[in-house]
Amino acid sequence: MTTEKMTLERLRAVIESYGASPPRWPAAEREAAATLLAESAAARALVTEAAPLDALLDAVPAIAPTSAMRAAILALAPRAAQRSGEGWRGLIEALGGWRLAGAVLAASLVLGIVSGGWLLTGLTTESSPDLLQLAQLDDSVTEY
Amino acid sequence: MAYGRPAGGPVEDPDLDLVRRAGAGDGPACAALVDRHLARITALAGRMLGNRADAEDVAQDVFLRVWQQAAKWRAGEARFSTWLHRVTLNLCHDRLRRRREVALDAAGELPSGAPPPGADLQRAAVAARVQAALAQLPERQRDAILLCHYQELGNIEAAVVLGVSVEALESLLARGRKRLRDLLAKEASDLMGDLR
Repeated sequence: MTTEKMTLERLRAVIESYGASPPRWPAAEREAAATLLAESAAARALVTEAAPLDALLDAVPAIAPTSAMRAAILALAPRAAQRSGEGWRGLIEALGGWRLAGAVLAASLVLGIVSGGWLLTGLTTESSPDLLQLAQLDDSVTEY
Repeated sequence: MAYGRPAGGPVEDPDLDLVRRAGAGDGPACAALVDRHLARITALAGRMLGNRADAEDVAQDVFLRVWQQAAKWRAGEARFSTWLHRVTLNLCHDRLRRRREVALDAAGELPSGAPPPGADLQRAAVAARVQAALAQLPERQRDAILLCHYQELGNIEAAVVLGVSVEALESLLARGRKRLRDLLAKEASDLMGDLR
């Protein structure tokens, strides 16, 4: 922050470039400008003169982003690389952890054996000729 | 990513940590980065292009580039926000050039039609007139005013975004504001009355 005095000409140049609002002025010159404004009616007149254009510029509203747009942007954001085995861990967690997952997998195995056995006992050449014909259909076609 | 920087060593960047984490796929960091910058980038694109659809397209393109660059971001070359503004301006310039190439009526692209529902009609009319005047400025002058007045960038950062010295930035701003005053002079008193 400079402690040098600002001239009226420099303040005029600052206002012509940055407008009437001190927060938009160069940070290094704000303090000197404030001092000049406090002392000089001519300096204050420069601000008054520039204010209408600032007000007109401020009338142009900002377009605000929507939440849908935010979501669309985040959907494309980078993801952390998937570590090996993460898929299995996710599945196991979804099944309620190691203990519950073990029980679920064991039950699935038993169910598979029982249902397979039941299907085999019901499947004979006499009771299901249609199934056999279907199975042999491809063979008959290739033979002729 | 060579956008220059003021003399005095590496640039301190308040976004650096978030950018690095976003590049590593950290979801909350990505969200924080979007929440910190999306509104300003959309506003800049909106004022450059004059309509919501184009502003949203550009903002999404900007963040697509952010996601592509984040993992490769090198600290100290430019502030992230400086780069973000530069990319936004470039994408907006591309669109404005395409508009000119297809010979669209410039007035038809400005928000001079029906004001948004519920908006104060007079204020909307003033906004449309001012935006039309901004659109008539030479590109560099308009960019300088958008960066300093609306985006409220400091003079050093705005100069870096535009790739010019601070003195050249001040010249662009002064010429741009003078041209705006001339363009709006005819209706200035009416426009100011409508704002009151």
